Amino acid sequence: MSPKNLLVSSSGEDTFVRKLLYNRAALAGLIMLLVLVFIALLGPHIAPYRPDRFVAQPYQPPSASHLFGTDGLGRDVFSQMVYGTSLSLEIGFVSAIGITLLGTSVGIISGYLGRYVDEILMRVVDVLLVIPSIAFMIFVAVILGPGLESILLVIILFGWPPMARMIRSQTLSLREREFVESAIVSGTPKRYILFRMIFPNVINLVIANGILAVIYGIIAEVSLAFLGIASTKSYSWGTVLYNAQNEGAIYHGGLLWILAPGIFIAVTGVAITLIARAIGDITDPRYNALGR
Amino acid sequence: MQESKFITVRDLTVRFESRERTVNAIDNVSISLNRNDRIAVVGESGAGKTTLARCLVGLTRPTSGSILFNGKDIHRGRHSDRKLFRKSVQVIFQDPYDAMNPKQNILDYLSMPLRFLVGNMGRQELRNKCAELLDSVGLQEDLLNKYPHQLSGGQKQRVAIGRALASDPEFLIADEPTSMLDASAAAGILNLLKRLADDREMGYAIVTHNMGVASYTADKILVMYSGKIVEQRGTDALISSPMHPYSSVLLQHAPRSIGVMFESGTAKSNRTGSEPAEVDPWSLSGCRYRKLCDRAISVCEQAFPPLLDTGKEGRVACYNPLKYGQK
Amino acid sequence: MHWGGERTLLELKDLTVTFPSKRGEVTAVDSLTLSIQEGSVFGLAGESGCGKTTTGLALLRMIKPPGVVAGEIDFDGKKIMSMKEEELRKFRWKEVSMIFQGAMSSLNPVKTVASQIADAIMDHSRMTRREAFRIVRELVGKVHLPPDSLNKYPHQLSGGQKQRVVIAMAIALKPKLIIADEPTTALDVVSQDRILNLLREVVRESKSTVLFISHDLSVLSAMCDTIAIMYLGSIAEQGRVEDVLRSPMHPYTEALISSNITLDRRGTSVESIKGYPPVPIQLPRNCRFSDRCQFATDECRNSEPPAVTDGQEHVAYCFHPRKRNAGK
Ligand SMILES: Nc1ncnc2c1ncn2[C@@H]1O[C@H](COP(=O)(O)OP(=O)(O)OP(=O)(O)O)[C@@H](O)[C@H]1O
Ligand SMILES: Nc1ncnc2c1ncn2[C@@H]1O[C@H](COP(=O)(O)OP(=O)(O)OP(=O)(O)O)[C@@H](O)[C@H]1O
Ligand SMILES: [Mg+2]
Ligand SMILES: [Mg+2]
Repeated sequence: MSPKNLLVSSSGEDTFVRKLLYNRAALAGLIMLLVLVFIALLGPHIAPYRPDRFVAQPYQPPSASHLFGTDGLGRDVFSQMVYGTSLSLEIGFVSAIGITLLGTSVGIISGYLGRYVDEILMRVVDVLLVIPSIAFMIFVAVILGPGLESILLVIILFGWPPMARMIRSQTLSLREREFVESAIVSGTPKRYILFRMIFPNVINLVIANGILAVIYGIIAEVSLAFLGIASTKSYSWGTVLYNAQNEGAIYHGGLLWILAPGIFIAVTGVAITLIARAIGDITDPRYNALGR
Repeated sequence: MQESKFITVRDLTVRFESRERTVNAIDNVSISLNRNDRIAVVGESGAGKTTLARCLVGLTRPTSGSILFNGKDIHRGRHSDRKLFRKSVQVIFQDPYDAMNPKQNILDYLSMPLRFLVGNMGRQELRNKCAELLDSVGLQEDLLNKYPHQLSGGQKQRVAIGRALASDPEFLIADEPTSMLDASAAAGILNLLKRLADDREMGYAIVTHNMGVASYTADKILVMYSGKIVEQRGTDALISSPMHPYSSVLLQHAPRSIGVMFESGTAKSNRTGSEPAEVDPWSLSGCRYRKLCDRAISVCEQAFPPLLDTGKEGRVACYNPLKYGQK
Repeated sequence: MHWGGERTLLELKDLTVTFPSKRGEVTAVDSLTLSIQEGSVFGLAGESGCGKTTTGLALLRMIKPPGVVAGEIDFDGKKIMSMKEEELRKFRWKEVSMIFQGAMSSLNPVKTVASQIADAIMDHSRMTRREAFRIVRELVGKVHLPPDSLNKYPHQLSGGQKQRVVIAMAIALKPKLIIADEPTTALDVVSQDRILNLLREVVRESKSTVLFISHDLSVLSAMCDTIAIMYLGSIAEQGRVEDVLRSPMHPYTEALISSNITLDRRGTSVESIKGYPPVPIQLPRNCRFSDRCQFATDECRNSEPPAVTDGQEHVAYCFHPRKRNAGK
């Protein structure tokens, strides 16, 4: 078997999902993620209190009945976190979908069409990448007004360029491959080459990075909230942090209150990284180097 | 030069510019090919063979000059003319391991030109035609549902030829079709090309660095060095009495049969003699081969020698060529 | 070429390498037995997929799971199969190094030639960076690279030059055995000859032993003292290179030789071996070549062929050997 043989993925073997389930790290990640989704869906049944009820003295330290303590109005922080999980995950997934769609299409189109199309799109990417994004995000969010939609829009707007870059460079190298060139010589239309030949060869990269974009979205929302841009109508991990910040949690010893969003983010982050890395491993051609 | 020739290449130049250097991978080359020509383009790595092949099928755009197909520029003119060109001139590449999309099976791979160049076929018809194509390159129909990684290199190269044949081309361009294959598979591929050319009255141009392959398959040989054609002659004439010093070096390096090698004691002796320093030919003025040439004279420093007729349809670009019979 | 005494440097006994696959166990190397004399160049030939690379990797214990290696490998009095990871680290590169197939196209594109060779040296020895670079400068002269190539990147080198870099890495720690896997296959004929000259020179100078893997018989005939023709993981014929290539006994060897396209074959018809080697999954115990062999009889298809010898050292495994005793 020549080294080239090793590069070939196997099309007659285990399905992607089965391989993922066989991978221990991925399984651990999936279970963690499932627990989070479970919390998000069943939040009202899990949380000990309503998030907006005054249930105790303000600024209570953590205790058995209030795991993360209470906030400045005596509301249970743990319950707020549980309620917030739903919105945070939603923001993560929606922005990941947006980023993936935008990043992938721009990347493929730019890489395949090349010339001035590439030139223009990559200039846009460059600009978006050099702009100090948080500052600009705040600016845009302020203009759009502080709603969930504008937060999502801002996150997606600044989230897709790295993805587009990566997909573009992958597309560029695919375009030079002999199988694409022989398709051109066979009179194959651009559409077919893009969707049937290039896309299937970047899909794994798209999935792995799309999953990572979830955590990007969640963190971006929390960072925005930390800087004072949050949707205050409903609870998210960002709003908890926003409140902690606003109500001076630090001065009242509410350490876990401030850390709570970080803990949840860390768990989500670990879960997602485990899954993304396993996907990377699985789609690494060497993983499939069995027989020909 | 006649306009009605099948393919005419006129003053073709392809320039690649990078930070370190500018290279004319093809440097003012003119050739014309007939429909039934069987030619070989030989030269060492970097001579510009692949670039020429890519130009001939329209994958690389010339920096200047033009390529005419039946008298019409392949990059201009009507869509129908260009489509006819695509159908008539097909290509196979060097690396069979890379010539197929790992995610598509052989049926999909073979049906692409049928769908896009030939057109309008039902599913069953498409399948039958693909099976026919496989048969014409000596493979079985049961390969249709397999994926590229399930095939050996030789089988892949056969499938690639089968695909090139789909549009019933009049001319096939093969860029190093056997350099990645073992001897037996290589012989199979070259025999197949020769047989197909006979059966279908098809011409071909084989790009190779191996004079053995060239002499086995071609009637005419075109020797390239650093983007220039340095010699172009009939195969028998060229291999018996090369005129350009570079052609004779290529001939010395061509593999001989095992018996001959042991007989003449060349098997283990240094076939090249002393180690010549590697030079970047593009950095030289005048003839780019002069640093490596043992026949260089002072004019060689002045300008690249023009490609002059030698009579009998041969051309050579050298100020001090080898005479007939001299090696 | 042969300089050493008649000492066996490497001995393989019943080396078997298998890989699990969905359709069954792939036997890439099948009870391979051979020995290499110190100071000789041993050629391993055969069609693509016959197990040449796998044999080389197995020697270095570099077959990764799920691949399974069985059998014995004796190198210079040491049992390689029972070595621990720590011992293996000292053994690889210092005692046996390998020029990997296609290595020249997988050089690190963002590292200069010098640091690439130096890294290879430091990976396999306790040398400091400075010592390593001193050796690198020596090596570059040895493989005839121009001194200014030290600071160049792979893409600035020609194919032949890249292969010289790879050779420099392989000879850096003066190993006793060099495994050269298809070191010239990707090169044009002119560079091919230059690289062969270089390898010959290196071997003569450092008195190494070489296992030269190639499917190109004319390259092998120019390099080797002894040659083994492999088919589907086991040896079909073996002997001194002149004997095997000039008077082959096995029909497979004969077919391989006559499928070689050379300058003198113009106007003749060169026949390829019909069919393709099957994927080696659960093959019956018979002559592996029988289904492609024009001389095959029922005997060949049903039982394992015997060893036939012709004079010294020349062995073929065949029921119907060709030209036995010819030319003797
Ligand atoms: N896309 C490119 N960009 C820059 N330089 C190029 C490009 N393609 C080819 N070249 C240069 O043009 C010259 C001719 O290259 P070409 O690939 O045509 O040679 P070749 O004769 O086919 O060689 P080989 O035997 O190595 O395939 C080389 O010097 C090469 O470096
Ligand atoms: N990691 C692996 N997993 C499964 N099968 C393998 C693996 N490596 C090699 N094989 C199989 O083992 C057999 C021998 O392969 P090997 O690479 O040793 O052949 P080779 O003689 O070096 O061929 P080539 O001339 O193409 O380099 C082939 O059938 C190959 O498909
Ligand atoms: Mg080329
Ligand atoms: Mg190999």
